[in-house]
Amino acid sequence: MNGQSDDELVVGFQNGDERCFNELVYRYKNMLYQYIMVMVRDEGAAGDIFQEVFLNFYRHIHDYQPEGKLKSYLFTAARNRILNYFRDKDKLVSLDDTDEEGNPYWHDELPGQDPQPLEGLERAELAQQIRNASLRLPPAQREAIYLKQYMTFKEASELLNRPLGTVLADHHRGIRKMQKMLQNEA
Amino acid sequence: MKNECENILLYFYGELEPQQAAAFQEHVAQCPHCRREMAFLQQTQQALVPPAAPQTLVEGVLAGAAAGKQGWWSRIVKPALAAALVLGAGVLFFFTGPYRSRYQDDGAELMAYISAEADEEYNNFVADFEAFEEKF
Repeated sequence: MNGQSDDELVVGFQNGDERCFNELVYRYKNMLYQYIMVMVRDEGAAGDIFQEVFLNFYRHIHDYQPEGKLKSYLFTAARNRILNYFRDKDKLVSLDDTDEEGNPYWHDELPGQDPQPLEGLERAELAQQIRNASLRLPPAQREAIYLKQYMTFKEASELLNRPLGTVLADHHRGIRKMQKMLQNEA
Repeated sequence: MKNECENILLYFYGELEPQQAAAFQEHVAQCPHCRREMAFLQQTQQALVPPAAPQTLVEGVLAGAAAGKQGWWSRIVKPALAAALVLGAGVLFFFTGPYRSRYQDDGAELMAYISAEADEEYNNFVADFEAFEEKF
């Protein structure tokens, strides 16, 4: 089942094979959770959105047309819910550092992979510094950098409904800012 | 960033056309700025590899899906019917089971007590009334 394409799994699921849905959940769970988490920076809200995305997909599986765009479909669903979350919380225009009371409302540290045995402490620390710096980026730059982890620039541009050049520029600016942050911390 | 460096992102992520990629590769060999940039992109890509999503969330999704699979009959009608049946059985048991005789016995005792009390009161009243009539 691991070797099957998204569309094959969707069709299998539409024909009643629940294992296909489970496989799709396992295929996308990590990247979707990371994306939602770095955007909303609230574990509870991220968990709710994560579950809603998959359960909504489950409920509407028969409306879904398998056209090779499941990843875009899931990320678009997640992004719409993230925007709704900020709309509901009146935070859409202030997706930056603090909540209404001036407190930081994101996690200072985003959990990373467990350090690999061969990964030195210095390298693990650098990885953590990069993750922390990424969370301090403006939302558009952060989103461009994280989406690039899961898809091509072209796919990200379609998902965000922004020109490819804009997405590339956001990504580039984000990278430059992170480099500066790390230089300042050194 | 120099103009010739501007394709670095597309090059690093393998999204340049093969011909452009080959040309850019030659540029990278000559450009220390691009090499530094690529090293940092490499570190960033490794640092931002998605960690595992919490297992409880994943289990929640699968459990929610399994619950949703049952459909409206199983999710709404069946539990409602079961609840109605239990309630109906309880009411029936109350009025027809062991409680019935106790309930009826209790009722009969109560009526007998009220009746006896009423009789006594009535008799007292009649006696008092007759005494009153005799007096006047």
